[in-house]
Amino acid sequence: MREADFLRRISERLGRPQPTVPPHRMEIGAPDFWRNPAAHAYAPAERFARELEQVGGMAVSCSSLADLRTKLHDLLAQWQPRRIGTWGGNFVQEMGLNSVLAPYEWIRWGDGGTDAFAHVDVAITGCAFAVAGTGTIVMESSPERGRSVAVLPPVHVVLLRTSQLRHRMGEVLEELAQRKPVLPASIHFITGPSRSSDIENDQTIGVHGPAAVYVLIWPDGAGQP
Amino acid sequence: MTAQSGISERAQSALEDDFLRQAVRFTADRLRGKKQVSTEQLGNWESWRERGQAIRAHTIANLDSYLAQFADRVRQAGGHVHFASDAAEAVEVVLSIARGKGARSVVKSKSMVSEEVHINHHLQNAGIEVVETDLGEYIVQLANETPSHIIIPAIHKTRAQIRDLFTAAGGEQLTTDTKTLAGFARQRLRQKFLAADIGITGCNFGIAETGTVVLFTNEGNADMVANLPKTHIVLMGMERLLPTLEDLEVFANLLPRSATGQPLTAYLSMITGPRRRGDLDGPEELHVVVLDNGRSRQLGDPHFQAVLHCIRCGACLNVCPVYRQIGGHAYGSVYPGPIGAVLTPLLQQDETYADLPYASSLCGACAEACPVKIPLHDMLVRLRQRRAATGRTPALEKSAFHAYRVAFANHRRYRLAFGTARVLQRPLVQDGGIANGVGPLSAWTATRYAPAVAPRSFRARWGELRQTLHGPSGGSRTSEDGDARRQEEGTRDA
Repeated sequence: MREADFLRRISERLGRPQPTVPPHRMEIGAPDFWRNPAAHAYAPAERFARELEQVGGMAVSCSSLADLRTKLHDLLAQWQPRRIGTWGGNFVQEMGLNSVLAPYEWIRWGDGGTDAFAHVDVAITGCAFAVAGTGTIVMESSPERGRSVAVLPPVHVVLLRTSQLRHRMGEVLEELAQRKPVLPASIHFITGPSRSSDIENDQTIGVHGPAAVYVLIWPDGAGQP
Repeated sequence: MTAQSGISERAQSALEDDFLRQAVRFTADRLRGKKQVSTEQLGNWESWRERGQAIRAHTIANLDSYLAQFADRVRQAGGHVHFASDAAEAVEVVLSIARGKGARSVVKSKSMVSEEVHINHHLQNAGIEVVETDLGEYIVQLANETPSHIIIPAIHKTRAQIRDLFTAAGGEQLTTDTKTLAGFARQRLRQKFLAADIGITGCNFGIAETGTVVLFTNEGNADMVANLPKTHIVLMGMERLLPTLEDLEVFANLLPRSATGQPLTAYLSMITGPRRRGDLDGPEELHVVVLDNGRSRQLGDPHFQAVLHCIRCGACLNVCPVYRQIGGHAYGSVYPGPIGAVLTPLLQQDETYADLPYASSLCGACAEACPVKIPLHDMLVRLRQRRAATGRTPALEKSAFHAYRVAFANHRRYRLAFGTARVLQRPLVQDGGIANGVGPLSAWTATRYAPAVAPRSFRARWGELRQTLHGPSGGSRTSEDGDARRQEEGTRDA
């Protein structure tokens, strides 16, 4: 059906010949009590960790970037992954992870096709934001930050700066809305590992996406919440 | 599963399936309990519901302009938008895209609209393999069945049945533990994701201001369906919009909590157009198919427009005393439960589903559970009225209600009717109830208690009752023959 006819049918049912500008509305987004910072009076890093662990993820608190490298080194030593996959571009250099990753076979996003990441055991990425109230990390796609990096491997390690933490999802959405008219092609709000209760209500993790989500949080000083 | 047999017959066979009834009740209770906990934790649930209702009402009342804006933004981000007035048009759009790509395989994530247009059936007829990737939907597909719950499609399957289905699909003997079964599905479906030509998803919400398609899943399968194949087709009901990104926060709180009692699903994905220049994954083409299929008929209808506010959470199913007993398949429709009993006969206005509004006790639990406050029980009554007005109700029901009206409209006829009943019921009464009704009454007494007409009417007892209430010296109005006097005065009965 032609778009114009389709829309005209809706307009006519609503009692007008064609679409009109919607009237001004008072009720946009979350209610005022939810927007009030007093409703979210908690330390975001601690709350984030608690919420993430509630849904089966692991939060690892690091005192500095150096401490983060040590903790990542220990985790990898424990897992002994056959292959590690990371974000592309300068991510590994910026985070100073070269020596941590050196003992392992590792690939960057962009080194091969998506298929290369189908055989990655551990993915290591950053994120764009995190939402403390729900233990959620937010990933945006870009040429160096493929959508599949976080979702194909069975283990996902996220490096989170405290300055990226927000209390509630609405704050992230407001920041994203500033970027309209065109958002990143893909934005993923990820809250813990992949899960399903489809077999007799018995919860199982890692059905399609990662079975383990580790978030290493380090204080970057900037806008320390 | 046929829709021809009628809700009563289908309910009867569901009632005989003990596993089904137990599974439905268990799942519904679990989801309900989790919803209660998570809404209490959030606090101010009523305010959230009111906000949700206000946003949905505004959106639907301005659907023409928001839909136009949404379509513009999708195109601005590089996507294509198609408008389908009915299921056949939607199918044709999908088939022509598939033909154009020479597609041989399609992966899907859960989508009620795709069930509504029976897209799997049509793609398979065109020689294209279709694989459902939501674990529950995959199970249901292997069993060659349809979902029995909006959120948990395979609610009616035992783990032994699932093992048998998976064993048959993979050719390797599996055990019944959840990990093994889920592991099989992960490995099997991973291959399908990577090989598929087209991914089809539904759309939980479309954001008008940005042209964004929002998907909520727990498994992460929608992300793979949307990201890995070269072509992504979104099937969306035309009412699925929200005006702004900010509005999404309200529904990210309402939908998962109402559906499964989670504060948020594991994955919430926002897709704005196909892959951008330089991106190595994500679809090269994004097609959004906007479906009417009877929805626009509800617009402008003072009683039914609000049915388009629905966000498909399934909370009304979990609280419905009828759904609890009969499960989803007994409804015979794509959408089960109270929302299905309202939506189905509205979208398809012929006789096929006209009996669904009777599959309800009108208790109102559905409306109470609805996160956007749709008055579902009022709609069920109105649908019954609508059916009665078309004159399609059974002759017996019509004459019974006619007799009821005649008797209850006049106190003399009322008294005469009950006086007669008091005499006629004598051979049937046992322990104050009518045990075995005769004729049409037997349909009631076979499964329900029918109290006998009391030996003395309230009117006959009123004189004594009044004395007990006011005492013997209760003034001049107290009279032994109060019943007679009230009769003379023509007083209405209490």
